[in-house]
Amino acid sequence: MGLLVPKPLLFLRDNILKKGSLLALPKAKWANDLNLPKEGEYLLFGGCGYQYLNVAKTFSPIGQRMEGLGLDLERGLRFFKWFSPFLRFFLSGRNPLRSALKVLSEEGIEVSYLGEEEPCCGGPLYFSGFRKDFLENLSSKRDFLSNRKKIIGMVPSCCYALKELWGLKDLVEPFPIFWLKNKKKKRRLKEPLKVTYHDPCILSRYLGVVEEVREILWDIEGLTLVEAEASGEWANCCGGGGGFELVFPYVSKELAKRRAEELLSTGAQIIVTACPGCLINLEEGVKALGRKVRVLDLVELLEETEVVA
Amino acid sequence: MWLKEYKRRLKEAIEEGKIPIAIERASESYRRNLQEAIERFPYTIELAQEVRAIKEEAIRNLDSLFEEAKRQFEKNRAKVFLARTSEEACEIIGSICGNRKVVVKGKSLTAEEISLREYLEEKGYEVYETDLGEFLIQITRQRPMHILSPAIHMTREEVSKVLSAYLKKEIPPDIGEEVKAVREFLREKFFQAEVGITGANVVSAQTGTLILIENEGNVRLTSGLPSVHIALVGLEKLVFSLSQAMKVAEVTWRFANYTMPAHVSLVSTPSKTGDIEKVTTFGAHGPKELYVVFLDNGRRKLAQDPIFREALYCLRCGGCLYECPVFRLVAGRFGDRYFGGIGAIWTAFISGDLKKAAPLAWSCLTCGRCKLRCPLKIDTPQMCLHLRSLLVDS
Repeated sequence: MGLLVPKPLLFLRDNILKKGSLLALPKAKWANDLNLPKEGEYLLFGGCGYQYLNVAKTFSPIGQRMEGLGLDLERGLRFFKWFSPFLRFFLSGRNPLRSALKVLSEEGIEVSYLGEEEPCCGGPLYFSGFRKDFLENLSSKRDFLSNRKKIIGMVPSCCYALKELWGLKDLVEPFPIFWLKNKKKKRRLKEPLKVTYHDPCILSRYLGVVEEVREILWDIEGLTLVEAEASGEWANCCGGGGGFELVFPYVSKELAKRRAEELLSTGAQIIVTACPGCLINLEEGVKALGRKVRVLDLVELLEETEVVA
Repeated sequence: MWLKEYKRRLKEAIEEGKIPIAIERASESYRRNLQEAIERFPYTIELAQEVRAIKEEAIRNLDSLFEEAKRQFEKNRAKVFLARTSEEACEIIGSICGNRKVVVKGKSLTAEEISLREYLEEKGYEVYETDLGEFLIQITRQRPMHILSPAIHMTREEVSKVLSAYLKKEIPPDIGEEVKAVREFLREKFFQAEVGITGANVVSAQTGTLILIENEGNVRLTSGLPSVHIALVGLEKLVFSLSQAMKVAEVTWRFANYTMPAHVSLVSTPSKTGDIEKVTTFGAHGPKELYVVFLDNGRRKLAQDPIFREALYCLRCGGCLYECPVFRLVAGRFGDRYFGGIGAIWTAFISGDLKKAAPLAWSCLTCGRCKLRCPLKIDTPQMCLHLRSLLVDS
């Protein structure tokens, strides 16, 4: 199998099938000190994208640069495998999932989290064409679903996989939808900011979540939303999607630069998005343009606001 | 290995840096024009939904539509062929041309699919592309970079250089002057040519009618001046009735950014007159002979596939390409004969094979903007994902 399948995707597939996660590394290190319960009516589904955010952020620019210099990425991948015992040092650090927990608890919402037992949604298998593996992987993992009122999906592509491919539909809610329905408190920025929002492809075009995020942003005192010309359902892709960023890192970075440019042209002081892939790619794009504008996840922006008493 | 050369070409295109500028300009004006066109003709959106149903029905009944079209065209005194493969299509067209040596050609993606111009040139025919963009591609020996604007990647400055060298006189980098120079050059070719070859945008089976949409006027001259008109038509262009065909045509030209095309030709029979004693005589001012060559080349098989048959609904308006982030960066390099995500599907099943399609299948971001733009809402990203699973299993 797989003569016409790019090697990086075979690498991810093997990880998912053998170790149940994209990079075959511990997933829950970001939450080690939090002692989150595994049972509870609200389940936070962290997703590989956020759980491995710091590893991916460290290594994706390396891949892009290697290709830019004309080096063989596949060799780099072997290097990555050899290196992987050391990668766990990159697992901690800034993590939007911590921000999500914090703002949820400020609303009095305590969530459960499966930690190392969180199953892989299989989305990367589906998007990379490993359809049979995906379907075989699907049936065995449904135990964690019982007694749940809502599963809060953090990564858009996990949400899509769980909702549409696992058939969980209403049980799974992307974070922005859940937040909008459940938040009661008004929030404000410590100082006024001009913010632009980048719609992730899966969140906007696959899941139809467009206006909800804007409602969240409009509701924050001191925040002025400035939209890029291509936004909402017509937003341009950040260049990372469906495994593209791994197969074509060089093209991916070019696309990231172009999208970053569009977003920066709004004059925004902060770029907000709601997907780990977009977060990584847009940060690289902004950096490549030599700009210093911060790229934040929606939950990180919420964390920077304060509750209005 | 199989991906390396392709990746190298993408990188080269990006480093060259001129494609994005040309396409960016084109995309912006595409969007502006389309928006104006939809405001002017708001019914287009609903019409597109109707056209989706028309195409679904037509692709379901491809074989019987062909039989009907053959019967009707023959009644119209046209000769009809069905070519199973691209080689067969080339041979049929070559033998119709016979010893008529000068051929003018309208732009046709189907002809591109079977490399018709190259075939005829190799056989010693003098072939002239008459669409301006296609003409530029021909004289620079490149491959088209967009299905409707083949020379989308060339700036006026480059065109001036290319034309000056080819026509052996100074053509200034002024678009008006450039158009005029090509018009003058091709004018006499239209009169010299004994064969005119066109495609067709849609075909009505019930009446045996080709519908040809254009802006330049070259297709009218190509199909009207020479004594022989050959139309090469992919089977997927067939719909049942003339009124259905007009609906398909209108949605096609609207999303192809023509708003209203300069000319739409309906060709059903060879040119004829009954002015003397009411006796119908063929070959008045236009062609004396009309040939319709239908091309299968995998289409009938594709029409049976429950997932990929959707690719046959494509009207070739090219709208998706303006929205594709990858295409906007590297143009036709994201493609083979057919471009973009939808091109990956056509390459896999019609114009190429799985191996040729593989790099294209992985080049799709699955971002979904093509589907959003498509008047028929063809789900290209999902088809690309299915294509990937075929590659995985191959």
